Amino acid sequence: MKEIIYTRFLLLKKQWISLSCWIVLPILIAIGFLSTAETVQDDFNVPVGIVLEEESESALALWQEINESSLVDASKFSEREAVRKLEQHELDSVFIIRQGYEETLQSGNRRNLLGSYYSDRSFAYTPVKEMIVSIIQQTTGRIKAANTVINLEMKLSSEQDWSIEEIIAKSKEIQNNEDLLNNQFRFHGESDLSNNSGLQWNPWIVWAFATMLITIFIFDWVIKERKAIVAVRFPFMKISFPAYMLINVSIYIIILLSIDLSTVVIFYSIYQETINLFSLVSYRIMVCLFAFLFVNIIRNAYFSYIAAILWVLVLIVISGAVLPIGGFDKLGSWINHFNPLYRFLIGEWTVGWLAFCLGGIAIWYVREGKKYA
Amino acid sequence: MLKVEELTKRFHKKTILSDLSFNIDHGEIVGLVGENGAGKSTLLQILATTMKPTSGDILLDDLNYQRDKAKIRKEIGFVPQDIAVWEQLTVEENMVFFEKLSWKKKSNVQLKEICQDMKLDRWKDPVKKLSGGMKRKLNLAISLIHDPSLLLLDEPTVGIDLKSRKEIGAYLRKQATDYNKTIIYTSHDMDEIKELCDRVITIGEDSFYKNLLQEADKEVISF
Repeated sequence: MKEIIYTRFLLLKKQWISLSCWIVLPILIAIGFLSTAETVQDDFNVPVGIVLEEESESALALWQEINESSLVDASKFSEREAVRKLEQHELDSVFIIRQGYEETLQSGNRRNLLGSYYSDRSFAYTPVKEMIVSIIQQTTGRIKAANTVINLEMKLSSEQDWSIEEIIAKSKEIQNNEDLLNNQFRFHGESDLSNNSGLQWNPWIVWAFATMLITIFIFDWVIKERKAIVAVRFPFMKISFPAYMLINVSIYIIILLSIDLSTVVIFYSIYQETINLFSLVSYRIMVCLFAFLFVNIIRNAYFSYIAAILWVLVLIVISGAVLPIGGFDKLGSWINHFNPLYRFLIGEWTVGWLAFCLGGIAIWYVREGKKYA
Repeated sequence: MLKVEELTKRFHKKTILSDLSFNIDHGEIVGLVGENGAGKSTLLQILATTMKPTSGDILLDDLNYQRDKAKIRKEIGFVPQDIAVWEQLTVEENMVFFEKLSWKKKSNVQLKEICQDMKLDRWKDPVKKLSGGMKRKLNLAISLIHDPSLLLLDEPTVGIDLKSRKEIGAYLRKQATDYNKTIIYTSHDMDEIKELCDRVITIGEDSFYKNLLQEADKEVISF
């Protein structure tokens, strides 16, 4: 074993720069992807100016609700400053919450609550306006319903004594409980996130896909050494060629696992993301064994690169990372069995695929042993 | 002694080697010649244990090829026709690499001596910078790390200059004479065969090689 480690490092020291680059690439891909995704998401938010002529509770609630939209970046300005920014096209549009907004709202009147400015480059004006109008309609609807309930209560001389605030709070509670659209997103063993805030990219998800691809690339040494003329010397050495290859796979697993432990520290320090170590170790071993079998089947370095890219694209699609297919739970359990990343992505041990790869390695070892006997 | 008795090899219905029997003593260099496809490489592979004969027995001293394959492999030094070394490593690294996987431990000084004995002195140079002759010498040196008693060489001097060829020939003669090694050597160069080998085995129906060797004072065994 010690001798084989020595021989491996003799070969690796000639390519340590390229190997180092390949090894850290999954970490860089994950960090690069997440920072790009964050920047793109920020760029897609529509900058909107809000002018509050009155700072009543209802006016502030409206501004807050507009701001909670993941597509709108609403900032508070004075009317003059907002118009100047609109003219300089720093804002898509400006909405003014008029003096007397709360009073008008309470009276059930929906007219002349807002004013607005827009320019010939206000591409998002109409959808933002519709969104704000729908928020106001929802609020006025609630107030109207509350008034109706109170009037009915008075007419029927009920003993109940409900305030308008209580009725509005109850209506909000009912709305939340009876929400017709309720998707569940869950990432890497976290508890269910039942809000509709969108896909929260986790660095380990990106890392898992990148690792699958890069590990297959790194394992092109198997193809090169199988084809190397030096293989003819192995029958006359103290270790068989299959055993030599498997011990080298173990060396690669140990090297890559040590880098994975650094990845844990890096992701925790940057994203405060933790991971189940058993899940990580079982995934890494499975990926290395899978990459070894993969390149042994392909047997051509360039075809193996192309096949690896196609394979990872298939994994990205069936994992639901690109297409909006509703997450893993809705994919159906049958397709998850074919996905070697599934167990890792839900934060569990990669048992099935690891067993499958070990079986494949055992078959490979017996076949190769016969060939070199 | 290497003893081959009634060795036959068939591929499907085609007979490549038919009833070959011969003995080779320690310290002897035997040439193996024949036209392309006559079965030289097949015989060499069988003697190297990497191919099974269809029938026949082979003995290396007291070791039987069928029963004692693992022990026999320790005694074989096989020099392939292609240069089986790591091009990206230096001469030293190549020697150390194969020593680590070899049956016998050798120090760096001993490894360097093997190379120096065959006038391969560019110890620290990467193989890719060596001449064809130097690479051939390294190819041979690696096969000698574990002190094999039977040396099988498949055209070890093909494509190299006369000086390197003479140096390799002189080294092999020394191995046979001083260290009592049994050497089997294939080549298409009849001058080299006549000069180096004690006896010659010709394989194939073509009498071209037999006629060439009649002029030389060599014992020729024909199959």
